[in-house]
Amino acid sequence: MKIVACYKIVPDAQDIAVRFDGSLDLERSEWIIGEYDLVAIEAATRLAEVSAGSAVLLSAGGKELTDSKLIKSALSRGAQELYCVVDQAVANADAFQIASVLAQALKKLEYDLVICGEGSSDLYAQQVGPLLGSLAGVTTINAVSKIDIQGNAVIVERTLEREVEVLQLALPAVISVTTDINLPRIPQLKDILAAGKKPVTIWSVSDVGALPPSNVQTVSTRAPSSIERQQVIYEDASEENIKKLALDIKAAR
Amino acid sequence: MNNCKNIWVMSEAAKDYPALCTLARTLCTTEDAKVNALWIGSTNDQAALETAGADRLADIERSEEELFENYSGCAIGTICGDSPDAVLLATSKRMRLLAAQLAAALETRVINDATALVQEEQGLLAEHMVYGGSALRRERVSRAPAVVLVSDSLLLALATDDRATATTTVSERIVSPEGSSGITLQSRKARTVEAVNLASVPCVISVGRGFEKQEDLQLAQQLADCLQAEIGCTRPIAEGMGWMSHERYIGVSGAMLKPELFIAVGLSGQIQHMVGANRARTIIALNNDKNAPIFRQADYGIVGDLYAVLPRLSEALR
Ligand SMILES: Cc1cc2nc3c(=O)[nH]c(=O)nc-3n(C[C@H](O)[C@H](O)[C@H](O)COP(=O)(O)OP(=O)(O)OC[C@H]3O[C@@H](n4cnc5c(N)ncnc54)[C@H](O)[C@@H]3O)c2cc1C
Ligand SMILES: Cc1cc2nc3c(=O)[nH]c(=O)nc-3n(C[C@H](O)[C@H](O)[C@H](O)COP(=O)(O)OP(=O)(O)OC[C@H]3O[C@@H](n4cnc5c(N)ncnc54)[C@H](O)[C@@H]3O)c2cc1C
Repeated sequence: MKIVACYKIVPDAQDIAVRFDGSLDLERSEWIIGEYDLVAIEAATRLAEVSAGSAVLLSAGGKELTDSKLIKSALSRGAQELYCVVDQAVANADAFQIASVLAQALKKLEYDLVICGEGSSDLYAQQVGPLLGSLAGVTTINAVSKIDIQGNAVIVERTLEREVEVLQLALPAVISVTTDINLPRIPQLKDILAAGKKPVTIWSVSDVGALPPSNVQTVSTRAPSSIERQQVIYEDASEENIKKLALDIKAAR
Repeated sequence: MNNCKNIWVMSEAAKDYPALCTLARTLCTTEDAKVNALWIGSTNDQAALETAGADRLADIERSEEELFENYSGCAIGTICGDSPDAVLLATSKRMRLLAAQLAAALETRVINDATALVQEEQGLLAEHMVYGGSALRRERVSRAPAVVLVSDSLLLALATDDRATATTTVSERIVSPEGSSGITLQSRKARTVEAVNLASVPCVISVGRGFEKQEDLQLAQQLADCLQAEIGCTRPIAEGMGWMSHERYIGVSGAMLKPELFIAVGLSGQIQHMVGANRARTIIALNNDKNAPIFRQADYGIVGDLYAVLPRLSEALR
């Protein structure tokens, strides 16, 4: 089976600083692969292994995407090849635009199954997978918590709020997987070294098609006001400090 | 988008329709604007839907045994065929999928998890959280139609407003053609959903990956018993480890709380988690790493091993 996993690079939320006026400072944030996209990559790799098929990666983004550390990080997790659509226009594109570009890129690839993460680590719209499937005109499903290959059929479990469905999917298909479908591997040094030798194809938007317009504008992005905290920290767990903390808790109830 | 006079609303649950219709009315820009409700499901709910405040109800009948997604195509065709200015959907996993399919057909993106939605001079303005809850983003629809997934919190805030129920609803039954989703439903089982509402209790203890084994959570339970508190957790405890039900995890993708007292035990205090608790009146932290981010967000904290501190703290509070 030919499988494509999609991932997005995002600023690490841990390093996002809030400026005086409530706006965000992303300058100091390192770019990382979305936490839940690693799950999609892992799912693709495992399926390729059990179906004696192939797993390739697809991502769209700004020039940060081609940072060699990020490329190695992506390819050290089992996939054979990486395809990137790199364009400044994509770096600020919305979910519909991104999905359109990815759908155009998919036309250049052969695939049976495309796997997306549940949501990106920064905006977490949980939309790109379902949009991509719809735009590509193939079977589309989200919330997939288990994937089984039985002969030529793909059987998935889908975990919704109140029920679990077992579904058979006609291929090709685009699926979004839940965050607990697997535990992504931690790449070893040899995987990272090997990743440096794997093929990477870089396209611009015009190589694959064109960026459609966006109908939604971002007006502002601001940190909500935070509540001032007392910041009384007892530095060791002596009997006396535990008693003090117990009093603090009682007073707060 | 300056004109908003044809709005569609949709949910998986009949109970969401009064709030959805109320919200839709606040977005209308003309007196004669129309609010349309679309329903995929059993006709048993028809009476409730007809008093929800819509002008029109389009009812796509589906029996319980059939896959919901086989009717999505019919729903999307009905809505798109009516040239909507806005479509509002109550958030759930099914609706996330349907919203994206609808948006793809309308060539736009989805405005997801909207915690506020208002009509302004320049167009529809929505608010939702980004970067794991570090920030609120405001977005404006510059060209109709808008496809909006409305957050639970916004719907809950609206549910009590019932001025729209005087509206007479005209119903029509739509028969869906054979579905072509490419998906065959093989079986379905109900999930055991724990009936716990962390948002309604005054004191919550949240546990994180500092606990080594599931059995050890009883140490937190003992403290909870002393304080009549409920236990919540970080996402990895519910999803990675599976030690607690999904209903108990707190944060941007889980429960959003505003308790009197929040006690964080063995969790690092990542923004994705804390955004669900940082409106608490008092925050207490217990962690063995004095540099853990949780201490910077706490009123009172103690640096120590939870295995040593929890039993003694429970003792002191008994
Ligand atoms: C610094 C920065 C600023 C941005 N500012 C804005 C802005 O102001 N307004 C705006 O609308 N958009 C903006 N974007 C674009 C936006 O982040 C998204 O790429 C787009 O909206 C996707 O939605 P999402 O992140 O919620 O993805 P989700 O729908 O949550 O992602 C689901 C899954 O889809 C796949 N996926 C998502 N994105 C990609 C991708 N690019 N390549 C490959 N696979 C992918 C992954 O498997 C992921 O797990 C910005 C991007 C960056 C990097
Ligand atoms: C898009 C997205 C959405 C997310 N949504 C959520 C969400 O809604 N809710 C959520 O919770 N998470 C969410 N996460 C995950 C989140 O980023 C963190 O990974 C998670 O909250 C960390 O859980 P933790 O604090 O239990 O674990 P860790 O970060 O591993 O922290 C464990 C802590 O325990 C301490 N500790 C260890 N041993 C002891 C001991 N013996 N005694 C005392 N302390 C000890 C350690 O010092 C450490 O600080 C999301 C992530 C993403 C990318």
